[in-house]
Amino acid sequence: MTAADEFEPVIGLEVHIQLSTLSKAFCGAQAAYGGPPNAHIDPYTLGLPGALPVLNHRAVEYAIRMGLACHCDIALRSELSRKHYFYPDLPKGYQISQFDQPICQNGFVEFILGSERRRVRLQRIHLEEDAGKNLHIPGGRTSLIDYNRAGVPLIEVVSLPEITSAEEAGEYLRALRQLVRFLGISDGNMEEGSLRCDANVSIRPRGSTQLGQRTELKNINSFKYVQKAIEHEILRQIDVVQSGGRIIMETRGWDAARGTSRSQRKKEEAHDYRYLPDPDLPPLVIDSLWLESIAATLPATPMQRRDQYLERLGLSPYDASVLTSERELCEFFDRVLLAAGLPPGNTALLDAQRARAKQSANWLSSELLGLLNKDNRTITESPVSADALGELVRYISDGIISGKQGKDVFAKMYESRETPTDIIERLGLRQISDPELITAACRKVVDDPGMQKQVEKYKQNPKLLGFFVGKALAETQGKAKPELVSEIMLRLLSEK
Amino acid sequence: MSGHTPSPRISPDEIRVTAEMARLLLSESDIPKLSDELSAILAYANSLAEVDVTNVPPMTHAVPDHCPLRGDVVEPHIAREAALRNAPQRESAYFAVPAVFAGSDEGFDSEG
Amino acid sequence: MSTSNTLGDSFSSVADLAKAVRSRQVSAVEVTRRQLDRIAKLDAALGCFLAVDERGALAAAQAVDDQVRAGGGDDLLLAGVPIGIKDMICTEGLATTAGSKILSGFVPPYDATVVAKLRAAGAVIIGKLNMDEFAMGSSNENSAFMPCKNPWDLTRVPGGSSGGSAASVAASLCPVSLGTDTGGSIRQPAALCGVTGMKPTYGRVSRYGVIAFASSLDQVGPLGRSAVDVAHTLQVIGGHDAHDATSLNLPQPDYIAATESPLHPPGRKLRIGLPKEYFAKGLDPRIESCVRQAIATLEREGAELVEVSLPLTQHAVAIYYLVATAEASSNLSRYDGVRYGQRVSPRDGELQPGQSALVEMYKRSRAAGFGPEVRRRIMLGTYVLRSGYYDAYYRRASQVRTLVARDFAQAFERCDVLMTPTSPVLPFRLGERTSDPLAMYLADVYTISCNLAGLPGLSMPCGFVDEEGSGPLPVGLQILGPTLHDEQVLRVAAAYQRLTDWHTRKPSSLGKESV
Repeated sequence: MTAADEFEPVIGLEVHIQLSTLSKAFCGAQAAYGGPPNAHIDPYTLGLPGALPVLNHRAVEYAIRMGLACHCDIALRSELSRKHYFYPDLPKGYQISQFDQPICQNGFVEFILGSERRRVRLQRIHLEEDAGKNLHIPGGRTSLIDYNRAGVPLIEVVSLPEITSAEEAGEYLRALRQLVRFLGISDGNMEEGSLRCDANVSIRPRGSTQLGQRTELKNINSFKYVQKAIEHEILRQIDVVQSGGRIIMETRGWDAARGTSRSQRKKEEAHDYRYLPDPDLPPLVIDSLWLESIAATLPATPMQRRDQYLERLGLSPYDASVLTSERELCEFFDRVLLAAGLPPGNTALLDAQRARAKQSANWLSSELLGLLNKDNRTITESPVSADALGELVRYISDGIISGKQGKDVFAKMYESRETPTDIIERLGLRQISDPELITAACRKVVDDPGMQKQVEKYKQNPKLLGFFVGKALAETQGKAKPELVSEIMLRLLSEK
Repeated sequence: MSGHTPSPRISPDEIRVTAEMARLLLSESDIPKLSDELSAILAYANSLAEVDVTNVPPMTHAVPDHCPLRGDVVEPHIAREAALRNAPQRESAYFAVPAVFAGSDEGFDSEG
Repeated sequence: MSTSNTLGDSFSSVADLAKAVRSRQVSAVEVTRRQLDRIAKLDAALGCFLAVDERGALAAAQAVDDQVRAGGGDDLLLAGVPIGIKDMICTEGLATTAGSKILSGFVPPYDATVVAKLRAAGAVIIGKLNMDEFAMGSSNENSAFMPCKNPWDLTRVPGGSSGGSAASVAASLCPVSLGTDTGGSIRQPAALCGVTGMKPTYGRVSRYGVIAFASSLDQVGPLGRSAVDVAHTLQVIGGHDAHDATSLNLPQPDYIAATESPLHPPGRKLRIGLPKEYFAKGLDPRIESCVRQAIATLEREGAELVEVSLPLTQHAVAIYYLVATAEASSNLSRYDGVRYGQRVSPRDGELQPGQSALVEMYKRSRAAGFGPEVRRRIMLGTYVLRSGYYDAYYRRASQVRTLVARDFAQAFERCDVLMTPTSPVLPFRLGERTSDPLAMYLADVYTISCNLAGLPGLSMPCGFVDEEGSGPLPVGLQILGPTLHDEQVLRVAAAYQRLTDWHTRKPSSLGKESV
């Protein structure tokens, strides 16, 4: 047993997610990422004297969408509160957030860890506004502030402390990103800061049920570092405990460049945020009809899609994971299925239909995604449309062209953006499956006087069937469906 | 947030902590004076403890209405120059402050 | 002091003045010029204006005249009416300080909704009016720039916090003005200066662009010579505003029509409630006598008097000082020397080891920028919001506030309006009361509950007291109405002013007036 095995980590994540609204949470300034410094400003964004907040309808709707997708209790009445602290990027000296009456409570997020289905329960999801950005000039005596980001709507998703490894924390975070993209409420882009993660980490002797002293790890701003930063913190804590030290409650900032963290704030300096129900904003009351309509139009979550792909379509867990990794991919796949002739919705499928679904999944995940990855393209930039790919699958499974021909057609589709129909017609690839035509071609071979010697030999050696089939196929310039040719040829030869 | 009994006197130390939170620089001579004045006001306010408020909801707003919501529409912005003209210190299109890293108050962006 | 008439004074109401401008009997520019002249002659002694916007006012007046000359402007309710704006209200391009050094040099890049509405109605914004810093005070002595004097006696205070708004109307420096009222800041100075001032129902007038003191209590309102002038101004500035989430989304009553209606409601007699707690110990008997005479006047007109009780009145000041300071400490957090206003940075070598230049900048800017009363209230408000004290102070005060509102609701089941004195004391001498903050707070006892409950309230002159060594000093009568019944308050006030002439009296020390 290694030292690390004596302890188990307990991790809770607080994840801030920017909502992709057009305007800010409490004012009409543009919410878009970037822009020239201090361009997206209005009296409210700058906290000018006299400016007042008015809550963005869409921000509330997005928070509710997230709450519903995470199985939360949605509060029909919640409160917007002011959270006070001084910082140059916080224009009013307080942030509008939610304190003891958040819009969503409880609930959980599901995801796949390895091959296991995991569930992390949530404490709450609340609405708040983002701060601006401080720019630090290394060694400089001043910091510069850009308020473009100030006031952009955020939800904060707070998990219970029940994540038990850095890897699980990473998967949970990926699941959140995937979820918000499916819900269309955020781009979940960590590099641009639209998804940010703070981790509360503690360790305890394995088997213990008590929580250890936790530290808060901040500034983890890339997926790449989430796991690394948490792992580092777990090991740091084990190290402290094993060398006889004591974990102190503190905030530590992750320094990605050095691959380490450093203490930012000790407990005794902890903020007293002096929460106050915002007197400018009466309680947020959610109309139950509105709530119902949001629920009714809620897009399917990745886990729901995954279950559907596994159970209804019979896809492999691997394919299901690949195809549900992005909402766009999922939607692309659904259109492929439709174009391939599968019924939409949740109707049960016949075996042949399930086979066609699997075929569609294969074409998409191994062929198309393979090429797209190679060319560094996303699914939305695919030169092959979902309709075209579905059509191709249909030609193959209807036996119009062979699987081998399909590959050639697909390669041409990818190159030229032509539809499979055009390519098949242009190249004359359409297979002959008309029994009469095939019988005529076969008869021509077996009735050929020059062939009678071989016919006699066949009677001794049925393995020569392939020879006759080859000849008959040559008669059709290779367009006849080989299975049909050999079936008919076998019958004709036996009649001789 | 649950209830301490209000202390009858705000000590000079409490005044110091509160001033730090409020980001107000106090002179040493201000402190005993504020301690007396605030204590007197809070002693007066302690009469509220006599009122029975069982099951009485707090009135934090003078309007019975619930929170109106605005459509997600981009509205006119203010001219950046008009905003920056009011800045005590600016550098090109940025507001400028003494470095946030200097001294003890190390920090990254605020908590968001 | 020299005599200087204004054209504004030649008209009995702002409606008449606007009508004269619209019909080209008089030009807005001429009205404005005469008004500016009077301000130039008299205001040095009074200290009503923190800024006079001569250029802006003349340009606005010219624009009104141009519009009228071009055949338009028929719907300009306040065409060419000069108006002073309390410096708590943002005016685009015109410095706005809230009477505080921390905002010195701040020029708002936007207009408050009320200001935009005034401009659209043809009003001429003549300047920014003096006030207690961030509206914290009852005497205007907390202005960071200069005290304002009471036109009835220049050694006395005009009241506060809208001292400049009341004194400027009393001295005929403008026919109407805007003030803000958080705990009586319109009504008390209106009483002390002998003018009419109204705080509408919370939510009737937009707060957008109005510098916040205590957001759940603040309300903008007009001050003028008469209830009729107040109604005209309120008609312009009131109404729903989508930029203020606490603005009531209700149709606006016809305030002007209300001032032309009879005293009594249709089909029955007006019932006037007299809350006994408002005629208790601490009330100057000379004030009580004026107020009782005013009530008797209305009783002679057929009004019924009802004694009511508002038992929680004794707690109003305590609730107010916890709620208002808590909200103020929060609202005033934005004054940090970063984006606007005054900044004081530590000098080189002043930083102790371990101190942050940024934190020290905040602390110095705020200490130097805020005056003693504002600092005191920020400290109190910060303290009561600290975790551990929140429940005992802010939360409990908010609960008792609920009971205060219920008290009023019960009282209004038995009467249409309440009548009370506005202030328990006459205008006091400058410097007389500055040493004891709590005593100063207690003088707000009659005006505070109205804000706690969000009710409409108005003060108007109802008599004068001859004080030894001074001339006559005005006494204010306060009318409180049920929530959303602003027009009822104005109706009763206007009816009273039709019966009496107290509101037409002007301080003689400022020279003869032509009417």
